[in-house]
Amino acid sequence: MKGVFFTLITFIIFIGIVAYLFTITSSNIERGQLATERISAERVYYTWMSVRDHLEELANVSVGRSDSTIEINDTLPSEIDIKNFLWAYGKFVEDYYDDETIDIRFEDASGNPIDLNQTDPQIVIKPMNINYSWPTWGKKEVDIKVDPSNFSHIENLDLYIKLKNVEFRCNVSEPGSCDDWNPDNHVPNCDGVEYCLTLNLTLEDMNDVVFNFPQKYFDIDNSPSRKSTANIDVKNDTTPSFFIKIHAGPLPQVLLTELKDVKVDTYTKLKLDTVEFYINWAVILNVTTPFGKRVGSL
Amino acid sequence: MTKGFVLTMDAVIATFLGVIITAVIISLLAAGSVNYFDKQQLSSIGYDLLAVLDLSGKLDSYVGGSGVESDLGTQLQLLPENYCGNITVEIYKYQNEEFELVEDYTNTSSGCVQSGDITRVKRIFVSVTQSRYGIANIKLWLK
Repeated sequence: MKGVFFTLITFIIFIGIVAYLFTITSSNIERGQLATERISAERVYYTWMSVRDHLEELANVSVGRSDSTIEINDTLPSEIDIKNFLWAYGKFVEDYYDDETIDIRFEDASGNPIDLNQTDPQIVIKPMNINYSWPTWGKKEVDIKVDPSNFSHIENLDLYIKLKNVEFRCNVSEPGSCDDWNPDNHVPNCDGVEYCLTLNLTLEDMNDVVFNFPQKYFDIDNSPSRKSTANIDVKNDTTPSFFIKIHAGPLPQVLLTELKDVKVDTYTKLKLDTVEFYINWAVILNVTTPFGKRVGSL
Repeated sequence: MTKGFVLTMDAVIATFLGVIITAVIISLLAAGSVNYFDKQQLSSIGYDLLAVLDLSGKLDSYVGGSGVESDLGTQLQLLPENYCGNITVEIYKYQNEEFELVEDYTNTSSGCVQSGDITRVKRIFVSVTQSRYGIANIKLWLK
């Protein structure tokens, strides 16, 4: 009887020891998994952000936000071969960031792999889908577009243009000289105008002469089509012909800045009626590790 | 009485052996396991340091620069006291559809020798003005 009793006690003690060991081991494995997942998530995040952080530099533009305002500093036309830089940068990311533990690739909206220089040259403000775009990466013009149904999200638009290689030929002191709109659909105010653009347009030429357009409100409805165009008379002592045209409307075009042989720096401030927005490039980056993944627009 | 004594001794020896074996197993587990949260901390700090160097323009300034290795040593001093690091910056130019290494710099925290578990992180950067592409690698370990 005593023997049975002591054997039982010994058995119970051993079971206890085994259970304790099992608990320690399980806890250790769980901690290891948690830490591994965190490290992997961090790796995905930092890889994704480091690629995104350089995209503006490559596109020769800087985009920022302050409350409900988007601020874009741009250079037109581009001073660098953006397409070539995008191609090389995309290749460098894939060759030097990519390894057996992390897979990085650029994708189009359908998830197909693309080269970075195949990205559409545009910035998209979501969810209202306001597009700030160039026709090509040469950036010889810039277009701000939005669907009429989302136009009401735009409260006002400030555009400052620094002309770097031309001066005003028009007389900035004479009304109607520089601000010669043709066609002209500016209105005295937005009362009763469904699609009314509030625009503050300022140009400064290479001699630091500043001209602020007195016209502030434009009807940019597309039914019927309303458009206002200012062909600002500028010159330079060299032979090429220069022009800079500003087109307001019709929707979905909000504002188009068109250049020929004119070099400019632009500062665009787009004030929205909400802070609930985010800014994307038209390219998707897929970063995948064995433990984590991030796929999203840059 | 003798029987009882023998049986008791049997149980005591068995328990004693059990405790010894348990202690050996636990110590083996502890020695073989890595402190995972130390690794995570090393990784976080490494990524943060590289992000600061990149976003502050420091990595960009190393392209064609001088005194880079000395400056890397200065940057490594930003690490916590009980951390050691080795940082390498490689700069490439894109030519003839290939990347050619044109500059590389490295430095290690003073008084540190690579040992133990090493955590590796890296960050890519670009210098548009100088048409260069770079990668900064950092290895971190505890002193």
